[in-house]
Amino acid sequence: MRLLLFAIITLCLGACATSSTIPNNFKVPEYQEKTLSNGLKVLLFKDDRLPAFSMELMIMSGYANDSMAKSGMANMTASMLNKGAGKYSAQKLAEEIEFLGSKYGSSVGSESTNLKISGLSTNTDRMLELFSQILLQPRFQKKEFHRLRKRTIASIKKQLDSPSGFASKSFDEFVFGEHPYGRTAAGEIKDLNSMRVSDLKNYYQKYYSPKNSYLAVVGKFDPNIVSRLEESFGSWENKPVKNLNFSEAPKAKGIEIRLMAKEDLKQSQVRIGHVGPERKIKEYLELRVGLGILGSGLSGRLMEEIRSKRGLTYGIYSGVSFGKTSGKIVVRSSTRNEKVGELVGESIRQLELLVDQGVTSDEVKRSKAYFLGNFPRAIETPAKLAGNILTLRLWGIEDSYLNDYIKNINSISKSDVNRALRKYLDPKNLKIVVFGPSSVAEQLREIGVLKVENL
Amino acid sequence: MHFFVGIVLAFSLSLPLLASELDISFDVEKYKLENGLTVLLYKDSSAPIVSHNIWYRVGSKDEEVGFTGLAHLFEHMMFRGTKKYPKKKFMELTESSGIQKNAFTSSDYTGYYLIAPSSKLEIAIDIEADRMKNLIVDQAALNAEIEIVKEERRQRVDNNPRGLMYERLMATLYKVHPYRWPVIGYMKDVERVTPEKCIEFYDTFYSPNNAVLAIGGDIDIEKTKSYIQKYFGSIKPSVLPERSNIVEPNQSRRRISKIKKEVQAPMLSLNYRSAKVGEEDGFALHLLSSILGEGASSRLYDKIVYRDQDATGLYAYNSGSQQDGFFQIFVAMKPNGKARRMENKIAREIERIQKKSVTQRELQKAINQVSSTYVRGLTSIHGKTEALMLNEILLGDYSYLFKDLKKYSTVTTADIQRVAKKYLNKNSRVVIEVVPVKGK
Repeated sequence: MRLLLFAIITLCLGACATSSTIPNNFKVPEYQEKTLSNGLKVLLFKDDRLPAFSMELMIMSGYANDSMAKSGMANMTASMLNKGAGKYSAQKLAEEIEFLGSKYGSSVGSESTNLKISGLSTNTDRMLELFSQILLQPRFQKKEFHRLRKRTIASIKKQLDSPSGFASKSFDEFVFGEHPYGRTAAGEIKDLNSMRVSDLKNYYQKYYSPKNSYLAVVGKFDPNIVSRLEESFGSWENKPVKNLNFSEAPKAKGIEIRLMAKEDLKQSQVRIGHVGPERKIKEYLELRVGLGILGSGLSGRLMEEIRSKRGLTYGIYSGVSFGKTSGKIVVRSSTRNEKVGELVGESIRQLELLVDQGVTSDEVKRSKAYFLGNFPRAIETPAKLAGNILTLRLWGIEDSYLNDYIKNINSISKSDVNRALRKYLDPKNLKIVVFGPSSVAEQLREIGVLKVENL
Repeated sequence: MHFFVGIVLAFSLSLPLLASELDISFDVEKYKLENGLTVLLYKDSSAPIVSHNIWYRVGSKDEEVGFTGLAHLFEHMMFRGTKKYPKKKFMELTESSGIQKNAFTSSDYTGYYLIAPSSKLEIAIDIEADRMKNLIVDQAALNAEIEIVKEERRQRVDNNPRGLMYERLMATLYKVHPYRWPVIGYMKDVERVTPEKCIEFYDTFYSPNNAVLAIGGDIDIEKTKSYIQKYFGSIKPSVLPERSNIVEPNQSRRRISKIKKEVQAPMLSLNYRSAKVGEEDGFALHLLSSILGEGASSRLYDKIVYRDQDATGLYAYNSGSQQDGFFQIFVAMKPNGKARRMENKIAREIERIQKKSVTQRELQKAINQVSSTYVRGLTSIHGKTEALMLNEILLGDYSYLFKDLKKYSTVTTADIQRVAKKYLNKNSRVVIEVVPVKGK
């Protein structure tokens, strides 16, 4: 049993003006790691303060494995697991879980599938039993598959009714094109229609393997938890897993704009950005700090100029998300239809300013303080720490990332930030999606090459 | 800052439930300053974090006709700066201190929170005390915030079918009570607010005797008390106006309101006025909502979504506010779904419960679900502090957070049947529909 202890952070390098936001004796909470006989890595996060217990299984395969014409596969497979498993029909299984007051759910990302069950610690045995049946004995019945597919298709159709979600989805498609990151987990209706339950069984066989997974156990549990996990999951057959490879996402050329036109919208959604770097870049924190200056929470240049001064929007946010081989950088906002041009124009100008003129020392100091201030909160509870550790494991980042977080943030300089922004931000080559009425087209033609898609 | 729909937090109030075997409580010190400020202090050193919350007993229900949305707009103005901390300095100070800040407005209260590293507690207290009495309200800032609130309204309501449904629901459930207008207000009302109107509102409602301060986390109790006295102690109380307590007359006939929108599929909600926060029936109503529509095995979900495959989603909940409440069943129908057929289907399921009640297992399941949700809500320092505050503001006693839980275990299947009969009747029903129409 390998016990991981996180060092007490007492060192403070460089400018320590921000170090007082975290006490010198703050340390990242402990957790344990153990490997079961079949290769499943188990991470144990004990928390006796509340009678709660949860298990989250992360399988390191996601919708990036949905090859073309088979979108939605990873998601349907994950969603089918609890629609009948072991000795339980779909509804009986739901009832058994809900009777405990427990919750079960699955979610699928580009490179991961997460299955989670949570509830009161008095029901640990029962949760172990039900969870292992879901994972190891899914029934994949045709009737349930047809039922789920109908519902999924209906949900996909309704995406158009959620302006923000639809704009984000359209942006991903535009930025990534045929690259898997351009898909949604739910997939396309035509692919779902041609899907068969045997496809899901094959996907399950191919990608669901202990060696491809981590199991995070959080909460109140007995010292014999590992042997109970061995009993519940030890029979899960190990097999090698090979995730699909894919080539790099295409870069934007100039300012390319796509207007998804729907006439009844009273406000337009705007997404501006481009393909970004992968998670493992060495300037990860510098880039985060720099983009934080652009916009984080209620603060940042974008909020100050576009919301606070000009009253153009309720919210404008800059975000960066990372994947295994690339990611995306995006500015996300919405505004009344007659101001779309101004919002887009000013956002681009802010991006240019950031890269051309760089950030100030004051801005770097404040952004660093923001990240440091959020750090204890981000790992406040064993459950939050578990979520962070699973993410690190997914991207293959060492635990030292957390150990050294405070030191590394503190040591970031203004020139580090400017360098990272210049390297990864490209305001001259952007993809922009606007979800609004066709009347906004005129405002956009002045900004870039426009294509209108009438919905 | 976000506009917080009152129902969600009121629903959260129902969350503090405990199955009889769960017995969770933590030490809270409660006292009052001379100026009337109620203070709750809760020590929890599990992380070097403090959650600083100040909630004012004013919400949209305290507004006047013609000035709806003022409480929420004013909440926005509270981030525009004082003499001591002008906006830029306020933002820079909170950012450089690693403080997360936000606020929300409901129909009954307006809340401001700062989640800070524990070493920054004094700054948090200073900031909140300062803006309780020294806010600067100028026209330029107000103009910008009016535009921002209008954008918020467009996002949450005008462009959002569910938001439209909620607004229409409140206007149909209530004909007389101030709950009838939206927290975010109507565009025209928001547009006519002046700095003078803001200041009048501020002077009336933003005072220590109209507020509760709850601080939880890694605090030294004595030190915290001294900071509170230092910064809040000298603020004078104000004479509070008498609050209206308009009683909404009972509804005598079913009401229906339709919203035509370019959506892909119809949506439907069935709504009934129910218990306000703190009323005994609230516990049974909450459990009934769980039995009817929480989770895949709930009665309505099982019948309508799973077996009949008539909908993509369904849920039910009971929402209690300070002066009234409502019970809702929401259905996201399939594209060709027929609203009347769905309404009747749901009505029949309700009748089954009115005639034969529910099983003991269903009741126990609902109690277990509520217990679990309670525990889930208490995992973080901020979550715990907020839960204490909610009970203090709405019920006048934070300890209901610990006490109320046991009451769920005393609810019987006969109680479930009784509240179903009392509240969920056709004449008491308000139906809100989103009807798909094709675009031009």
